[in-house]
Amino acid sequence: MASLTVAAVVISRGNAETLHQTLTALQNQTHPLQQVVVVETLESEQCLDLAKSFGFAALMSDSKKQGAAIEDGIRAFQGTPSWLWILHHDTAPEPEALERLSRAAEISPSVAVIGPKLLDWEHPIQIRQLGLTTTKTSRPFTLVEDEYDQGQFDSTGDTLAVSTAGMLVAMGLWQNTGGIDDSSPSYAQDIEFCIKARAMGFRVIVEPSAKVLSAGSLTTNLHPAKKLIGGRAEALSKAHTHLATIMWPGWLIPILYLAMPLIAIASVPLNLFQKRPARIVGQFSAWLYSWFTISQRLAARKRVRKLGSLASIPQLYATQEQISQRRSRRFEEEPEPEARALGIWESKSFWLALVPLAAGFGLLPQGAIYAERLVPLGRSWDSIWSATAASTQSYLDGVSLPSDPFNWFFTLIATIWPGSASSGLAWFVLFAPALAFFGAWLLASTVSKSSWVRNGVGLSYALAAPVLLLQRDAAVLELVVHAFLPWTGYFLAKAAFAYNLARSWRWLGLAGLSGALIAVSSPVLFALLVLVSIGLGAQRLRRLGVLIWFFVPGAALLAPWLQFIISQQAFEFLTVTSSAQQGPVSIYEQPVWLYLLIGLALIALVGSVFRLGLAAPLWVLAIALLYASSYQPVGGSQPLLIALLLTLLVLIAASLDRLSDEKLRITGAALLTVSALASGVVFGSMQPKAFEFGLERQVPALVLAASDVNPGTRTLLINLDAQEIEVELIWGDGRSQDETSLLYGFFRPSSEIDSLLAQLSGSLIAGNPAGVQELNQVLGVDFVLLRGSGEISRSVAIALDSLVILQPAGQTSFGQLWSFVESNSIPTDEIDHYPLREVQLIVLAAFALLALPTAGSITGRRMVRKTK
Amino acid sequence: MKIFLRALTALLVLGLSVAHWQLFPQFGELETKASELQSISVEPLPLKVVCPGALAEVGGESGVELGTVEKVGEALISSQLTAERILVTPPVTSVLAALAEVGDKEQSTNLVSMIQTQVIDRERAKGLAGTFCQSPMASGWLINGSAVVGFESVIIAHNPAEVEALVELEIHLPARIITDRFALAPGEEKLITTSQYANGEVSFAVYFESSGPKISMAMQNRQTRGLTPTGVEIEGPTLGPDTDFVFAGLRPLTQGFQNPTMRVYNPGDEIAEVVVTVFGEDNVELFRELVNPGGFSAIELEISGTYQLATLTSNTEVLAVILNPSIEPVLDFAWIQPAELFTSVTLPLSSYKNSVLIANPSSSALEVSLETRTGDRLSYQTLVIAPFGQAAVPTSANSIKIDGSIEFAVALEVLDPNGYSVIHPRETTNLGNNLEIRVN
Repeated sequence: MASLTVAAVVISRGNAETLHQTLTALQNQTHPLQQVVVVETLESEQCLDLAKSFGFAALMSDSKKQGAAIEDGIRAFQGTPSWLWILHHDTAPEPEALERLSRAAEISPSVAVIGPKLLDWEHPIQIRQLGLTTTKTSRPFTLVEDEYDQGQFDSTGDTLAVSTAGMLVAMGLWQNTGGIDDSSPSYAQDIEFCIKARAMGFRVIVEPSAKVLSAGSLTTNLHPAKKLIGGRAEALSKAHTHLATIMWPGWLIPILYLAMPLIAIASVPLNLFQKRPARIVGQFSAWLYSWFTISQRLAARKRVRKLGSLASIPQLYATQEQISQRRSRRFEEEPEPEARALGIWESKSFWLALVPLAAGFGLLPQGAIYAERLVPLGRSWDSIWSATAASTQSYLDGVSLPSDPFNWFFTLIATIWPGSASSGLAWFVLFAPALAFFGAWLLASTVSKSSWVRNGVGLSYALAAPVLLLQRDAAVLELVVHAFLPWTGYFLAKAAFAYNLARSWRWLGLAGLSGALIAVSSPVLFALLVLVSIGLGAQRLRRLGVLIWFFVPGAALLAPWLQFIISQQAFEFLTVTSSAQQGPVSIYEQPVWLYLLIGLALIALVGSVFRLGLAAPLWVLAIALLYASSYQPVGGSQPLLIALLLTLLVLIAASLDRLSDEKLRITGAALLTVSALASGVVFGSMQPKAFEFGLERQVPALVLAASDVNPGTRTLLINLDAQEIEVELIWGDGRSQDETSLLYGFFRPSSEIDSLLAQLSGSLIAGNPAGVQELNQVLGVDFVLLRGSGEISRSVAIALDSLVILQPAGQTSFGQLWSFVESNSIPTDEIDHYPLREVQLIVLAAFALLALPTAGSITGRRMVRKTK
Repeated sequence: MKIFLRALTALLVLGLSVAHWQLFPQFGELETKASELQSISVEPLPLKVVCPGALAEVGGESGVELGTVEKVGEALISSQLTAERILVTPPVTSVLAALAEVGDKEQSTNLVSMIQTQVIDRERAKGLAGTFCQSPMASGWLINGSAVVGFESVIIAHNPAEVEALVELEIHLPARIITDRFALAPGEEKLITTSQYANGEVSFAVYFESSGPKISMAMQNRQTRGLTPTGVEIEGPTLGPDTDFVFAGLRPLTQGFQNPTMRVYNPGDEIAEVVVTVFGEDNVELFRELVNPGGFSAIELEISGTYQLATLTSNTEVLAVILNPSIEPVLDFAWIQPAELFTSVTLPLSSYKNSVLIANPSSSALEVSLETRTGDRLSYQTLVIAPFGQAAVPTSANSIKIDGSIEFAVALEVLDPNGYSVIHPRETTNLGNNLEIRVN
């Protein structure tokens, strides 16, 4: 038996239950303890009484800090022991623990600090800690963590540091170093103390045969990470900068502090990619903390370095191999469920996506789409992007109105098809129902394991009659909702029920991005989705902290629109986001919607009463969608009806899944499939399309060429096709869909240009040259385009021909063209953009980084520590 | 408990759905802010009216020169000009096309109005041909084509502009459309025999379109029976395809031997259901006919009595004209074209026996004031015309100006021992005055 005199200080944190076990364990030690002092830091009389009942000295500390509490304990010692054993209220040593620690101290006189093997309180087979060190950059590093104890680490060895939990420390060392420095960050205190010991020439070792059960945090037991302001990530970052200040060479310190903001910013994408967004906040707050307490960091450095050289320390840093091993050990293969349902690829259901494509017969893109509410997009990515999140419109002499939020989708299309965005849009119209099939299939898979049911629901959603008719109308916005809504629902469900945080963040990234598409299509539907995300979070409280961020991308994209709506008190525009949107419809006047929804609702109602837990919130959502679809004064009814359709189908899927009779389930799903196929034939391939394919440019080639040279080229369009004479000033290469503003139709201001244009047009129509040149000095028109047929149109053409100031430029597919012989080139103002457009982009980029797959987030791995 | 909850859920869902149906079937729709119409007045281009000139005879002056088409005789030009700025004064008689040009701002028939008449009495042509001198047109329809034995049609084309015109012709035959094109030099007149396109066709129509300046077009008809000439006529472009027409000036002049015949052409793609209503003194006659796409139909109007107003309604746009033969007091015929509706019109009168027919196609009474001019002397008269009624005003004045309380149709009947013709005034205006323009 060792002959050291040891006194113990137990730091109590008001938890009598764990303290009782700790004191009991102390009482059972095989090595005699000179004395035991229990220091209560949270003023718990119960703990004090408990300590006294064991016959130990007990006192109340004025300070809640670790170092001060230990000092209070030491001052209460009667006599001076040669060694001090520090224990926390939740560190229960095994009976031989102190004996083995003492023996290790006796064997090696140079050893001044000895740490035990810390085992998990509830699972003593699991090692929680076996020594501490840092990486080469001085980031705290736990050498062994969350490993099953099979004796594989049972060799006594030097380490940079050990935790204060169970630490046996030479009393002389403690007194010479001044003990734990409470001014240091919590996660750095243990390491800093051990570095002092090393600086003074002592050794710090771990004695694995001494075992102590620990219920506290990994690094310090005094401040559980979850109680630290800013969380564990912030505490680690603070400790990192503190230790770096102490240990790095002096000439690197200024560089370190100057580079901190850059490091914090540069690490943002990395943290997002690694699905650890909490670290971002921690690193930023650690940077600010370090900057504002730099004097304390430097003072700590001075104190440590005064004690001796740190030259021997680098050999104790964590090696690259250790770092890699720990990283790889953090994941292990997830056990395969016994009965796993087949996915969309394994079940070969993906072939069914060809059915919606077949229903799109006749829609194979042959150019840009010209529909009732749709004209081609801008000719280049740049032009579409410039019309996205714009604050002004280049109509007349400039109008201060935000551009349509739906332009973000056009930008996405232009990004995918940079050479021909309009053709890309036409391809999207063709593929949207197939995309919707995949989404609905996956969403159904969250409530049903049956491939039959998933197929039936997927096809019923993709081939719903009203949606196919919308496809025939090239209703792009409604098709975006149709295609991406089930995906959003699926991503949200996955984010809520993912079994590790990394996966949850990744699904959230995908949900946020697809939700943003819904937001720019239908703000009302997006608001309901946000409520759904919160509801899912309430269902899975552990994921609430992730799910509450779902709204961010959508809200960011809608911000300028919302700002305008609020400033104008025009709340009806919350229901609409694009001039391409179909007008409002009442389901009672649309039999194709009415009968479909009534039929599905009745089936869902009958089936869902047997699965109330899931059905009740879905019915609440369905009713909300039904009511919201009525208040659509500008447009936007159909996105909500599409959402209602999807909700009812999910209810039916859940109901069918509940059926115990498999034959009945398959019959029900087969009926869904057959009716969907019939719908696809009748309302899909057999219906004529209500749009035309045409040229991607919207102005004659001559105007286009001129606008390439001068983007401010202006063309006066005289349209005689309408009942009245309509004129319009076209800027540059024409008003593409992305340049068409929904708000302009409602908030167009009166402008002097209106009357000037009318006057110029009148003179041209009459063939009267008087005053035309003077008017054009103000208006700067370069071309005149006459559209129309019939006698009046020919009369006007003849009148225009008679004007010597105009030069005929021929007949084009857009009408008859003339150019002004002399025109006054007026420079156009640059389009103003939403001042926070960069922020919108950053938000999207952040969610894109979250959505990118990593090993831990996609390959079905589970973090070991979550298996408890 | 579970059963209760299930029943409650089902009832709630049904109740809320029914409540939605009852209370919120649909909210109102927000309308976009329409741009305002701007009224603009600018001085239009000078107004031209052109008469086609004298009749042409196929075979030349002698009538036997193959391939020759020549003008014969002279047309009498009657005009009424109130313009302050007369750029081209019309002639009194003309062989070739006659032009008048004025430069005032407010343009209409009240500014310049011209007709031409020509009495011809030749071995192969006899009768009176008269027509209103219309403004040149960029496109238009001539519907009075016929190219069978005893019926001959000649197109008279004239380019009054100072630049060349390229004219495209579409000859609409009952079974097909033949196209042709020709150029018209500035001031050039072309006489085109239609038998080269439509030989043997009882009815055909001609659509013309100029891809240059506006041109003047007319089609003359000559009828013979055996070696006996039975009439001549010359007609300018008719009103374009429409679903409603009014015909003024119709009256049977054959004492039942040969009824007026309405020729209907359907240029569309759908079958036209045509209903013709003739308002007699005491009765109303209805005639119904289906006209195939691209087809012609001849509707015989079995009517008797005096002047009658006729209307045509169709479910699709058609062209129509009435061929009205005359036996007494003269052997001739006239084409009665659809009448344009006016609230004010000036019509010069011929040197022959004139009757101005004023028809009221509406269901309310029409009050018209007439201002007749004889030399420098003006005389005034007021008439009230009953709904769907027609008044004939015989006059020997030089011109007549008619102002109506509501829209009316008007035709000038020239019925004289020399021949018979019905002339239909057409509005003459260029764009510029009182334009309504919407700036988008």
